Amino acid sequence: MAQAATAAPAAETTLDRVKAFLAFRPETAAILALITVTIVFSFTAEDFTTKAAFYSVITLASERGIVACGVSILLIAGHFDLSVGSVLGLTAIIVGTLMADMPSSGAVPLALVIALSIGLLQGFAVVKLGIPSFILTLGGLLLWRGVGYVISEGLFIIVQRDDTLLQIFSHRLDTGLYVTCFWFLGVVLLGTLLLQRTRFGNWVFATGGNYRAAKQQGVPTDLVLILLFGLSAFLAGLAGTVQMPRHLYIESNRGRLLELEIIAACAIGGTRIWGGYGSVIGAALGVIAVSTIQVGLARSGVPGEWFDGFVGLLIVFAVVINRSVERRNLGERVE
Amino acid sequence: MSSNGNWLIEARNISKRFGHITALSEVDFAVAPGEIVGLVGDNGAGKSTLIKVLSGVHVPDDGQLLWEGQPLRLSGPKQAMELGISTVYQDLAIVDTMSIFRNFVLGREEGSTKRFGPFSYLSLGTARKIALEALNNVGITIRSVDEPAAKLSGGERQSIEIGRAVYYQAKLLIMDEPASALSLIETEKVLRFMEAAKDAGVAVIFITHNVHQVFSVADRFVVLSHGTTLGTFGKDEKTKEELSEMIVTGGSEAIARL
Repeated sequence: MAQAATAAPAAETTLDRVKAFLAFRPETAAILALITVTIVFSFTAEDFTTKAAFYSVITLASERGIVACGVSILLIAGHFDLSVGSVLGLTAIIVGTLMADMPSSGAVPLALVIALSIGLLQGFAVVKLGIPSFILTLGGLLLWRGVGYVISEGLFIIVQRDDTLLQIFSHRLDTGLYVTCFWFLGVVLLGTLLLQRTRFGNWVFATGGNYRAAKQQGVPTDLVLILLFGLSAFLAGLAGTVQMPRHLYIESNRGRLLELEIIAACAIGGTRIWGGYGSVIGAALGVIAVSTIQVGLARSGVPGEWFDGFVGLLIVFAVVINRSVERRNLGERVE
Repeated sequence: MSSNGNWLIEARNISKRFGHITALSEVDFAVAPGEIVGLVGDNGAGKSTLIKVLSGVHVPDDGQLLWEGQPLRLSGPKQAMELGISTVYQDLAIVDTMSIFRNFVLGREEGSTKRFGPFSYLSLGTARKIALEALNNVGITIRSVDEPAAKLSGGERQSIEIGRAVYYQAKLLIMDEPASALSLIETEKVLRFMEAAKDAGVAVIFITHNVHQVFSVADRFVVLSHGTTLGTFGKDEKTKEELSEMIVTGGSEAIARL
């Protein structure tokens, strides 16, 4: 029955089918953006179509991508998390600090539990105190950054790069690719399964799409939101841990402004900013597009200052496409 | 029609206040299996508050609920749903951004959940099948259950909810202003469905401020005005005109008292 409903008539060409697919998917803009920037940089950037350039893009995208998965699912449920950059930094600082006194097998789980607790606490405050998540997590952004500054005394913490556990997260393969990309892939896969193939995923879309309706149909919306704030902070913490061995030390403002980059990636990736619609794969592609710009600009010999402007252009370009997909998909009723 | 003690759900002396506003004051209400009760009253009479008490959305400040003769404390809409209370709201219970079949199984995903080793997952195929079959059974034809609900017309949205109530074997069906956004033909369909549900032994509450719609199908009428019960009447006790007048004058008398 499912096949019968989705099977295309035989007369349709492959191109027609691709067009029809693109017209309805939240990922459309991200795919087009990715193709566009890749084509542009293949002309302007030095050695852009090489394996090395591709690996740089993937490595940059992996850490942000893990964060973007949690943030995009929370956005679909109708809420913001602006604290992810600070939680990422704080978790890395906690792991680094704890490793002075205990093995990483103790430090990493403990730090991740702290990250998770921060998220659950923020979720609890949003749900039970009725504080808009934008404001509450803005408070979280400053608070958790502040805690990180205090622990690191505003300086930096040395990373023990030869640690076995950390190598599991960020081992550099012989090919030059970091293992981190498999963590990214795993998180995208699990996030997509969670959204599309579980009843919890159904609740996420309903909570963000129509909160009152979800409540009336018996969806435990409060629980859903608290867990998603927890997931968002946990993944931010995981990304902070995963990226540690790539660096010699953790600076105290690690992850600063990451939250805006992540929201940009989600918007490029077709996540409806007021909830109810979107995909983790879209957000992941959005992250890859942003990383491609970063690597492309660097290899074009363009000063780093241009990066923000390019990402800004990309957001506008993507949102124009996303709005038309949304309108086609959801009709004029949903504005 | 049923005699006392045979009620499916009974509300006694229900009061509900929101801050300084008294939405319901000592309201009595009951409905038996296999009857349609018209709950009528002007806007602001307390109809919506009463059905929200009956469907577990609001907890009453005073009074008692009985379900099949036993005292009932509703902790939330989920519990009401599990008892067999299905509420069809005007426009609220459909999530526009979700597909029709996802809307259909929302909050009742257990029926389409399958196991894979230690994991349980939502079987999209089963969910699609359930939605399609249930809608066909009520005589509703839908182009594709994969379409987002945003693309449905008012009548189609209503029919999704009706199909949902029937499929999940509601004992009590609460229809909140079901015909307010519908064309005449669609309204007629909804009324015929309510009669079918009644014949199947379902207790139906039909909330409206339009007496003309409810008069042809209801067995009894409960008239609310400014949070109190003005009276309960059998179909033969009042004419349509008398009932309409009651709703209007009941309101103005109450205003005069203020």
